[in-house]
Amino acid sequence: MALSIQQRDQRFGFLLTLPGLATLFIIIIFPLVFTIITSFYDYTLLNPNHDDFVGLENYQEVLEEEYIGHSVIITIQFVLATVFIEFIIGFALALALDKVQRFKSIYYLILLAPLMINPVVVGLMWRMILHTELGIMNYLLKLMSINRVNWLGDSDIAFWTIVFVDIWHQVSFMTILLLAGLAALPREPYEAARMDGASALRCLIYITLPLMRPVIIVALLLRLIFAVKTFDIIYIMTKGGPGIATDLVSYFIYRSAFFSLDIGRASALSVGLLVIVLLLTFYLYKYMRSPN
Amino acid sequence: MAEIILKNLTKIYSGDVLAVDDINLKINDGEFIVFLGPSGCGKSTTLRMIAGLETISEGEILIDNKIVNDIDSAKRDLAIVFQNYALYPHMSIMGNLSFGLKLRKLPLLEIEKRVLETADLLGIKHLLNRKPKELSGGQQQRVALGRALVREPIAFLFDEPLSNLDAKLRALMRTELIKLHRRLKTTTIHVTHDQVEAMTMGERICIMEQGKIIQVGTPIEIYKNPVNTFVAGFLASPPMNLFDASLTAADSEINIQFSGNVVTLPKKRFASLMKYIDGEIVFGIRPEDIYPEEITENMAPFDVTVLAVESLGPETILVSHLMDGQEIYARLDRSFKAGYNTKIRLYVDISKIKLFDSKTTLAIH
Repeated sequence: MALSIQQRDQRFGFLLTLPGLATLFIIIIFPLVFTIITSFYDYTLLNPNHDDFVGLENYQEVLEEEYIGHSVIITIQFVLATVFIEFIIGFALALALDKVQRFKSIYYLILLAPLMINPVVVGLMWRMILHTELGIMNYLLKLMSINRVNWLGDSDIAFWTIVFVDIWHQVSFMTILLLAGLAALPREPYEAARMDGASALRCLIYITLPLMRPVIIVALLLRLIFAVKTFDIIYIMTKGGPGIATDLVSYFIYRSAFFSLDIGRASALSVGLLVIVLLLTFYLYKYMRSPN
Repeated sequence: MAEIILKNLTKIYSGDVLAVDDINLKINDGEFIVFLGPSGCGKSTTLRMIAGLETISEGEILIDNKIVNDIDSAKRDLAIVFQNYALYPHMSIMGNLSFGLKLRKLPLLEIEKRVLETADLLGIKHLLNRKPKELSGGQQQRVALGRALVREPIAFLFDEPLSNLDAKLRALMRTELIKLHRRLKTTTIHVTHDQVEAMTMGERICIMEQGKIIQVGTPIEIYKNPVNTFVAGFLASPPMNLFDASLTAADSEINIQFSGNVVTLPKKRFASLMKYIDGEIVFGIRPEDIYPEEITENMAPFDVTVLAVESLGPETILVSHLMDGQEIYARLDRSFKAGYNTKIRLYVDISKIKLFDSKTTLAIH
């Protein structure tokens, strides 16, 4: 029996989406389901099979883990520090760039350059710049008669070094989002405010910030979600060290899987992290869909 | 209360776009003046320069004899009502009305008193807790007006505030604005491209075209004696009928020939018309000075073909063709009737004819 036009359309549409669906399945759905299943088994690289079902034991172990608390705390610190500082710098940059008329594209190019660099390259680049003996940073400090700093080897400094590099890499993302928000603001309320007697600062406080609130929240949440998952910079620059000074949760999971070879426990940790990120994403999604 | 003087005021936009071209005008204290002109004539730019929202390229603006060129708009103590209202979208109506007063650090009780008074006056008291987007266009317009009123500024600047309203509401707000002005006696500059608004609201009208002031005067002065063909063709609806015509002298009379018709003028006009004899002029007659029959001796006939009879209720607009196809509008009594494509004879009141120089477009008196 011949297919109706509608059925043929549906079949054709399905064929078109098939490659995308297959890719999605292979690189996202399968690993996700595999991780969730594995988190309930005693699955190690020495014993890589789903033979020993252990229920919630992996999760219990994670909670009892000695250093997981430390990782969670420094991850929260890292996320708050990077997102907050990125927001302040990003907003200042966006406000400055919003009024620029000439050479706009050049500023944009400079601004976007870090974002276009692969995180691994960013890590390597900064590792070289910040190298204690050979790095250009310490050389410059020496020129100014300042003692050299062990940027990545000092457990008090390493955390802030990582924070700095992440900000350098990601601040333009924040700037671009906020800049788009500023560009979309209506011009009229500002003129009305000027006639009402508002100074530039008051316009910023009473007009710009309230009108930008939705954009600011979306920008903060997006960066928050990305920052929670930060891994590459840590892997390249400090490997969680010195000691466990920069051992963010994502790197902690990596160590559990590939140093302790305990895939089951790492899977349980991953599922935990996923739940947190999902909650943030869900909130973001709901916020963006809400009429206000 | 303020007297506003514009001296050689000029605005040149980036490069060489001349938006306002060397205008001079004195706006009296307490006056309601209307800037009228087609879009792009520079009327809004002039208003925005007075407000301090545009920089002044050349010339001076004086408010109460003080040059304000370099005074920030925040300190000029003027209030503007924008065409699109420009309310603060994130604030309640209460917030919108009180924002300017809060910035001026008025006591809270005083602010509340003034806001309530203004809201009461404009009939928006019940909307104070709402946000602008929950209001209709007309209500938003009232809030924008309230935001200007509540500050008790020295002058109001209205930038086409009624153009986004529907016809009925516009007529209503027109009357309300006039009433308001009679009560407050605050100097008001009202910018519009709507000549009905200008005629009904302005104590004086300032007509602008291409950045220049063409004519300033009371509505009736401008209506009666337009200085050039632009003003004649812009004011009133339908506007003055204008035709290219040629002048010839015969014996002791002057004949105006237009579109195959001849109108003979009395002698008293001779002197000013002598130099146009055997030359070109523009002949103008208002639709209301055309009649379907000869009601006085002082009338000249001409023949037309009826194109449309538009009954407006109290009156009828007759649109017809002259012999060469040019359209002519006549405002006739509501009892007038005529069939499509019939030939009829109309009469113009010779004393009401306006003549303009066809090169300079200026009126010949």
